[in-house]
Amino acid sequence: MTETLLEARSVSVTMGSIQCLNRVDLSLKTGEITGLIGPNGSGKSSLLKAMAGLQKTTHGSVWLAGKNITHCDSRERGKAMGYLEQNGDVHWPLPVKRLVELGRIPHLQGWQSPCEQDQRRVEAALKQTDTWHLRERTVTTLSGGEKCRVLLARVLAGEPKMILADEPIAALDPAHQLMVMESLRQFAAAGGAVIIALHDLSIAARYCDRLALLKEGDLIIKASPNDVITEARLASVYGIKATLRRDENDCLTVTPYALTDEAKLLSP
Amino acid sequence: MWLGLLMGSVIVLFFISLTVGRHSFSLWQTVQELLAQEQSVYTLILIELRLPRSLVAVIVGATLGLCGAAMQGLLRNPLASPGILGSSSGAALFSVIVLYFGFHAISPWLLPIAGMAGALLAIVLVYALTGNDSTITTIILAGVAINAIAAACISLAINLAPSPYAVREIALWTLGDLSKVSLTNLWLMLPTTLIGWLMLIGCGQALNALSLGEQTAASMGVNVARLRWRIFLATALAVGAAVATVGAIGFIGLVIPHLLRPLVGYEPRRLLFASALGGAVMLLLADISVRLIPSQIPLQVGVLTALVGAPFFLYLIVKLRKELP
Amino acid sequence: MRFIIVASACLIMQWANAAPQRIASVNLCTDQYLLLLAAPGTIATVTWLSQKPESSYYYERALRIPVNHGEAEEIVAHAPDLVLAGFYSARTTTHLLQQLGYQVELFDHPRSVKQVREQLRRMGDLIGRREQAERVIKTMDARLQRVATQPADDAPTLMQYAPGGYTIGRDSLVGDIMYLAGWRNQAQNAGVAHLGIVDLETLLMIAPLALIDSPLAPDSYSFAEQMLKHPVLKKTARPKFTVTIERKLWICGGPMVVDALIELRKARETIEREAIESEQRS
Repeated sequence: MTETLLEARSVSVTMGSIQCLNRVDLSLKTGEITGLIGPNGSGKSSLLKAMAGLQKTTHGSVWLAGKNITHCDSRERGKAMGYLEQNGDVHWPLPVKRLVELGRIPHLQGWQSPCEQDQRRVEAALKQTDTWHLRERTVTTLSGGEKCRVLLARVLAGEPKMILADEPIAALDPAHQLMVMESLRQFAAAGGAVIIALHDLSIAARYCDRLALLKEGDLIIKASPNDVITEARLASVYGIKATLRRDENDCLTVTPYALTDEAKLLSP
Repeated sequence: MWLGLLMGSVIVLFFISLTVGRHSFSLWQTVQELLAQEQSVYTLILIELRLPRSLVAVIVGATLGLCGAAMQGLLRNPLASPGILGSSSGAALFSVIVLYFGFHAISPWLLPIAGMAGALLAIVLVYALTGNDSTITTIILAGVAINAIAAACISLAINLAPSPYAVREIALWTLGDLSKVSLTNLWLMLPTTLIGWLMLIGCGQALNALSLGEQTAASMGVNVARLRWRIFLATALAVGAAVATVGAIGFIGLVIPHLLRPLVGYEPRRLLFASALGGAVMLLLADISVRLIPSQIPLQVGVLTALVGAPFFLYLIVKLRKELP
Repeated sequence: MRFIIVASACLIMQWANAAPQRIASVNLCTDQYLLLLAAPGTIATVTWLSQKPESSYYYERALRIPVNHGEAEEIVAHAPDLVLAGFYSARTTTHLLQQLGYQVELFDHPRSVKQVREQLRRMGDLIGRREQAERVIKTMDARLQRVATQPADDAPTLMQYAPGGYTIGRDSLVGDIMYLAGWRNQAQNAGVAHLGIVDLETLLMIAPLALIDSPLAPDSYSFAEQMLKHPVLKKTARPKFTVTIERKLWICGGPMVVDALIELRKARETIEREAIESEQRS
């Protein structure tokens, strides 16, 4: 049985004079991976931040477990959701294990040290993301793919009900991209909800149960990948021509090969 | 392990500090006299002169170390410290005004409060000048500016002060000196210092979260704006009281968190307590040294911390410049 | 330019033969000698400190005289035919005035009553008032004769403790007066012969019976002054007494130092009486 965990109701966000989001409705359900796609500047990050309660909305509201998120206790909010920042920075050369431990913070009082149960969660998260062997390394010595998986482990260690990830795989090689997506799929399969901003449309189509397509702050469509990704939409939203190929499992592969004529006119 | 070692050093150095002075006498015998409630010159020297000096050294050192660690954690900048960011000199300026113009006659508590106000004003000014995601250069520049303004105003205020002795004491405020503290000073500084410490100790978890950046910390339930004000206020309370009592002793808040960070696995929360201990060790060591170095006129303890700290500061700048593009 | 300087220097030399008529002083203590000895109308300027009642014994006489702050410009404006200065104060001013050809006479701080006498005579000679000076010395010596004494071996001990922990030894005017008033100066036990700093620990160890305090204005604050208010001084058995002597009585040489001596002697006698009484009681 699926259950709605988080719901954006008619959310608008304005930054300065720019309208980043325009009355977007979107909900996260247990067991589902929702992909957030759209060109650069279409409002993916703003929507994720608004849904994580990190961004004030100028219209509408976000609801977490039947409560307006602005009225939620920040600790409860921290326990319920894990937010994976775009190019997440780590400011001190922390050892990997300590970094992943930080994920337990919403469960700890101000002066508490992580207890044995916390340690077990940290261990599990490290194993789940295949970073157990890195646990003694310093985060500054990791490669991009390793760091990304460690940051995901940090989120998983907090045992959130949902994960909000902002382009976590943009800088990764294909193998690491698949590894991260597999971890998220496992998380969803175990009853979690995931919303993830993506640029790689093939991966979005392969892993996401639903896709939400944004253009200049408007939610164009939210539906299954096969319904969202069509040649016509890719042309009108991204300004690209692409070949779409379906494999035997009805899974879509998107290969862009040219700009549309309108897009060519705009580019220098 | 390291914490135990630091704590042991604080205790040992504290007792050594009690035995160091112009005159040497048996600490053990004097303590026995004290227990027998006999009064002698030695018990007076111990209780009224050396004990407050050593205790204040521990408290001020701990304050500076702790506040340095908290500021570095908050701004995620290894160069942040009460001295560099101007809170010390802001506190010194306000204390100078309250002291030398007789306002403390209204109430002695005005002194630590003035120190706090000065420290708070300075740090808020630096923060307003540099903003949130400031680079190291802008932070240092803002700190230099605030320090220069405060130093000029301290000079001006002391030159205008009614006391003919005031002029010679500018250096006391800009370098810091422990030689004239009494138990009265200790009682005056204690309440605000303790409030500041307590406010900071609870910040550990949030500072840990901040090492992943403000957005992520906020997503984990940290109210970053409230944390910032809490740390500004807490450091102002503790540093203000410390500076109002002994002047602006420099570089402890910069050096100590840096040296100890690798030992606590770079974790900001554990660095807080460790830096408090480390700061106490550094100031005790410096204060013992100034009393052991033979000199005609008593040396100021800030001279030593600056002699150690300033080259370290330069080394840090060079090191950070190499690490950054 | 050089010619003008040489010419004016020659003029000054000529005037010097007669008694100087426009005397300038840039030091509080030479001020005091001048205000005491100079003929009316011959003082061109004294320091601003001389008009302060707490530091200047003859401040009333200084009120009508233009003041200076020890700067060469101010002095040159008065075109003085004699400039009086201390050894250590306003050094740049005295150097400059010497280079400009003014007659500058330097006075060291006197280190004994005997040196006060010598300085009074020298000042008298310089300003053509030797007779006046001898009269002052005669009166001063007559008063000294009546009150001066020497400390007995068991005389009470005294120490000056000035802001910042400064104390003064036997080899100084203050030290000499303390001696002549019959006190034993404890500064000696701290190894101070002329001028030195004694920290609170040492003060407690050498434990003089009394301290000399020269109070400043009540609203005056400094770390240095705060040292004298350290709570330990209220708890210790010694120093037990505080003898207050006004600064103006002995920071400079002059016949007023006898007043300081008399007050110190009175204080000693009172303290000794009290000690005997408390012994009799117990």
